[in-house]
Amino acid sequence: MNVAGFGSDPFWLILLKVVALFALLVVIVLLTIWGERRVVARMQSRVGPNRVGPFGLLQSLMDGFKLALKEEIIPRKVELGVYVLAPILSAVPAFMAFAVIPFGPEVSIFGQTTMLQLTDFPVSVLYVLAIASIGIYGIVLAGWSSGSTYPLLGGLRSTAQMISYEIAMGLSFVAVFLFAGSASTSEIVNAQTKLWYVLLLLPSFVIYTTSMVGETNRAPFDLPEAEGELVGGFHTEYSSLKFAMFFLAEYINMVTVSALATTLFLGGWRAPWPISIWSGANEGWWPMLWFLMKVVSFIFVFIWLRGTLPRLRYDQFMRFGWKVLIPTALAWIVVASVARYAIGPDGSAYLQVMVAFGFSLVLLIISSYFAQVHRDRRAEAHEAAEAASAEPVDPFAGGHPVPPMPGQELLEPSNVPAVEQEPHNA
Amino acid sequence: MTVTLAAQNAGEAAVFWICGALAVLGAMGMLFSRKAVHSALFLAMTMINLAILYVSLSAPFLGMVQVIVYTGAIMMLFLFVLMVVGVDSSDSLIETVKNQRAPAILFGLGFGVLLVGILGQGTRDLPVGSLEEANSVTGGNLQGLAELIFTQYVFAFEVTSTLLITAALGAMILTHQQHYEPKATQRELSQARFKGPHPSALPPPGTFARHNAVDTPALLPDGTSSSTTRCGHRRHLRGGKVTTDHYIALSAILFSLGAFGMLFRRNAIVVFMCVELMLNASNLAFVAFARMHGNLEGQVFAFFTMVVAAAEVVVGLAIIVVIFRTRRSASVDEPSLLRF
Repeated sequence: MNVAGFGSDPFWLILLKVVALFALLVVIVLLTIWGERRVVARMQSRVGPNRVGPFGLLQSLMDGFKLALKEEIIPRKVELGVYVLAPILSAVPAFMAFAVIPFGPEVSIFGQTTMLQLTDFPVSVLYVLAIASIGIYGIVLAGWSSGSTYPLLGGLRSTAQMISYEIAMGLSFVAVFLFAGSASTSEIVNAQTKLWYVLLLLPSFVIYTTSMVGETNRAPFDLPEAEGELVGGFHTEYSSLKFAMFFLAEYINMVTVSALATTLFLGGWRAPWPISIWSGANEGWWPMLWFLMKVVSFIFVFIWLRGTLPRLRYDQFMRFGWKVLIPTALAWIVVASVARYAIGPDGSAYLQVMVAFGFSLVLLIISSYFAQVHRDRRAEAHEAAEAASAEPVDPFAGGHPVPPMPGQELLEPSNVPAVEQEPHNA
Repeated sequence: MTVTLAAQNAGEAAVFWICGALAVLGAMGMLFSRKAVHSALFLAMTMINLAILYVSLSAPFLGMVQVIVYTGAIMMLFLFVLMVVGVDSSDSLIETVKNQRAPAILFGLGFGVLLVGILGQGTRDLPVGSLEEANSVTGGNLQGLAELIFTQYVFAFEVTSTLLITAALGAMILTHQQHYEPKATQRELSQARFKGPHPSALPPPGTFARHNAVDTPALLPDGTSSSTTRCGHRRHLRGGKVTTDHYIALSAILFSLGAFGMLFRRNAIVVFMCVELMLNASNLAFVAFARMHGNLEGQVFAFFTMVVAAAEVVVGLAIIVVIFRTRRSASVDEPSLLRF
């Protein structure tokens, strides 16, 4: 059940990889927090942190020290066991998910040839999804165990949000699996030697990138911690090191989904086009640079979104997930699997399928235009008819009040006493 | 592969004894914790440990699906419903049916002893098969499962997917509340607010409010909650080989714990969790038998069980929510009348 090239590392090498991965993630998180503050400041015509270290680079490190040394406040009503468990459940899976992300091809470390990836197995993309779903527990339990209203609301929101957006995310993987013929990360990267899936499977890419923002609770989908409505959301009652762990987990998750997007759609560690002409670009340690560059550009988009877009309202957000993203993903899977079948296992009918696909796309656009014109006309006619027939109904006509049927309008009752305002601090 | 067979066996034994013990502990924690949320957490722990066991039984796909579907979706749904129907819904200790508890405990324990005993007798020294061959025919576990599901079992697949869609629709219809008036838009709401006496927000329900906060316990805390910590219970690791009957025994223990909980617990949601535990236990047996016989059909069955479990949970929880709306209680003793 092993993927070729894995499972034969000596113990010291595995340990080295684990430590390196851990260090890399922590450093990336520190730099991301600094970068986010600088970039958002730039977008808002401010300067941002620039005092500690060169360009303020050490700011987040110092913030981390400060957070760890702060007084820890534990409210009286918390469920202590679960309250302590929640930040751990949030941070540990965040680190674990990175184990299957490929950083590069085979390299030589102290004379030992090995892949630049901790491990891989036939279902490693599903493993990332599974680990992410464990991480959600941290947020939900933090909300519940805090014993106060705003965190609970934040926790509830994130439950619904993560379940909904995980479906869309999982569906966006299907087309990639179909075309790569595997669910292992290293094999998916290998399958993109000729063409990146961002070009071949653009709808999957769009669905994945949208749902990954929802999955990581980032603006404009950061409803579990909407500070305008919920104070701090699920982490309102957390302070000191426990808060720092939630913070760490959020940023690592951001890096993880970006890395997964790179792996699935942007060719993983493969060099982008102008550089890939150079024959040595995909060998040795260079690929790690291309990989990190792609990840950083995703992170920049995350920050850009936060600096640009206002937060969605909760019902709009859920409607978008269930009524737009998931149906689109399902329809796209049907199209993609038909295309995959038509192309055939050897890729002989590639050109014909692409031409047919483009042709039907043009047809679809034209027909949707005419459908829209038709719909507008019908809506106008409907409005005119409704304006003619709308007549208020008296709810007390039969002596007993009846609720209005859909579309009916109520006659303003004249003999109903005004509703008394309840004293709010009784 | 450079890993020797002996090392592999020792590794599997370690995984079995650690994860098996944790799974049983989780099941017991689910049975005996007073708060329903703690029960849900313990059950999630059991499920994750079972997923690790599946991976070590060379069913990696099923292991991942177990975590995604059971822990990520089904248990999340449980938590969601628990938070909707009141997080403090702990069991009442009053016996509604007279003298039901003692026989329930007796029968539950008896059933467990019987099941473990029979399976222990009948399955002594079952051989350990290998799935390597079955997995390598079509290129891997994933491909092999896909081939079985979409050829031999395609009818069952279609039927379960129909069931799942029907269940989702059923849940939506059950919990649907009809609006007689169009929903107020954000504009209308804010206009109404500014015309009313409170343009600013009403004072929030704080931690110390007695009834207004959703999560503030409505009743007085009835003593300390049983904080079932899991420490100091480490079994000593055996280097010996884990055979199929070990897995069957674990499955029997988990199944009888689930059955026991069904007789013993009052909270409808916890009773539901016990059903899930029983389904999980039978899945473990399926996966273990799949490896013993060296073919993938057991894994296909476990896959279908998961789909059916998802459908069942959706409808069941919807029914619980509806009962809660009318009776304000999630106890199984309350809805004894069919009409009211």
